[in-house]
Amino acid sequence: MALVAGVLMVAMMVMIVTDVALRNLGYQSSAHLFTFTEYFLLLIPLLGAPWLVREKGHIYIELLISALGPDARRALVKLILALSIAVCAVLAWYGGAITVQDFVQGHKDVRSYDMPRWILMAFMPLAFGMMTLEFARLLVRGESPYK
Amino acid sequence: MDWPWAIALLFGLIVALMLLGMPVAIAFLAANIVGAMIFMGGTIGIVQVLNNGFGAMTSFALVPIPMFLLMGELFYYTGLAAKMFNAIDRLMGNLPGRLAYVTVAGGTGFAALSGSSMGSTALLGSLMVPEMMKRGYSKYLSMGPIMGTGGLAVIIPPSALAVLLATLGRTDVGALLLAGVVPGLVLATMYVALIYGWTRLAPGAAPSYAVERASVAEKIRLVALDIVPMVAVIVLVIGTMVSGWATPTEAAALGCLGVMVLAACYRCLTWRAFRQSVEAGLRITVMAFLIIFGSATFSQLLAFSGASSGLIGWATAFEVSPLGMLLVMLAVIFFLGCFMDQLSMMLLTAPIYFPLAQALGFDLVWFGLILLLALEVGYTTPPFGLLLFVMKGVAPPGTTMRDIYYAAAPFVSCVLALIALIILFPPLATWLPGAMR
Repeated sequence: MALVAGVLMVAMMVMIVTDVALRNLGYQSSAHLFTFTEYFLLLIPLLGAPWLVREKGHIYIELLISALGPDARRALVKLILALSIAVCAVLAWYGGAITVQDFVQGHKDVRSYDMPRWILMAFMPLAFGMMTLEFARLLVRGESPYK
Repeated sequence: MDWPWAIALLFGLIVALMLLGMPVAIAFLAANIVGAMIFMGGTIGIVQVLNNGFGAMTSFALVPIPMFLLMGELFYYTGLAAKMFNAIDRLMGNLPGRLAYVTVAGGTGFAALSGSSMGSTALLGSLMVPEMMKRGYSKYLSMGPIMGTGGLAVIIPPSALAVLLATLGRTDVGALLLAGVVPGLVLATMYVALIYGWTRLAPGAAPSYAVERASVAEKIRLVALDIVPMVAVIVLVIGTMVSGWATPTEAAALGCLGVMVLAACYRCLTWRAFRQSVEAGLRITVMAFLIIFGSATFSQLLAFSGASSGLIGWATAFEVSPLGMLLVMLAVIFFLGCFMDQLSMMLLTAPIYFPLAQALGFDLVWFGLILLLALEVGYTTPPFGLLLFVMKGVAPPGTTMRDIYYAAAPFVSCVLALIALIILFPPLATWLPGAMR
């Protein structure tokens, strides 16, 4: 998933540069490029977020954690992981519900192009679901989500 | 629920979770879920959290952020940044305090491009401090400039934080980026004057030593090959924006392309460097955007629960001059800077600060610039600024916190002086963007 996110980021740059080039060469640039850039912006963090949990790249405040003794620290990390799992699981669940609803009711995201909204929304339960799994994996292994 | 309670609940919950050590993005989301359940009517609120995230992320104004980050990482991983560092170093010759100037010049470029003053402090701290100490520089002069460069980096374009702040405040992204140019030059001049004065008054702080003198031909070669092209990319980014030829987004993408072309010309655009750059850029982008995702609903909750308007009404009801109000707002930032990173501080305060600034009749670009500087100062202010602890982490063994305070103080004072200057002479910030309209 992170690989796709990386490809999207490079693709975004190429699209914008192409857009500028086309415009200045006197061609009508496509409004779709603009819309897709916006969609990429949503997909990049969603696709990359579970990977970042595994890579331990999310930022946090270490003030309290670094001040605790080893036992208390382990307990606190477990608490944080449990809370994080709960948050991600809730968002995955409701994200799934919105996706299904958008699909059933045929909602469209109207920009330059009428994109079926559920296709975009589906990335939310995917992202938060995978994050739930990654946090759970850390909890089971007794690892800390921090470097 | 009365608005003071709403504020206490929303801010209290989020700050408590952050202090506990929860990843910042998850802390925002957790507070949103609880807040949405209370103020937006149960589970419908959670649906709203996700829909808001959807809306906030698909916003074209945020596109420059990943582009600026990618550009910075490319600059670093292809080795172009190191090339420029070396060239500046060679050019300085025998100037007293040479390495301190090199740190300011190179560090500013690097920090601006990398978009994270924490990262660049860690890198420069481990890179430059041992080198300077070895040459007999005093520890204050070794560490101070590194912590000073962060303040420069947030305001001069390309600054990812400036893009985000402008988006949050619903002001013109290009205008805020341009507003930082003149104050950035003023601040750089102050730093140079500071180091110059320092080495004059206390020559022992930066002992001179024999360096290999570069011949004039050598110097010209260095400037032409290793400095002009790199500066050209930055000029390309600012220039296309100033001339109105490209939007900030397009300028950022062109900057990326510029660095890639440049790296290809120097034959250092390897597949490995490219992959590393994309990965590093992605890492920061994902981290930041997930927090933005979470904060989208946070600002809405503040508005929904009546907290924003309540607080603003309360604050403006005081018989305090707008200037007094501004100082209070800055004081809050300095306080938050003791334990928070800039991104979190910005996302917490902006939903309240920008409406308040508008109510007080401030120029939002001017206000945004002051806020950016304050965020950086809050980050570096003794006794608890986060950046100071990062510095401590990479400083040579035996460095005490007191050493770091003394090292940071002169540079922090420069930034504070700049804030005062901008407050006293607003054109410093507003002239350039105004002239471009």
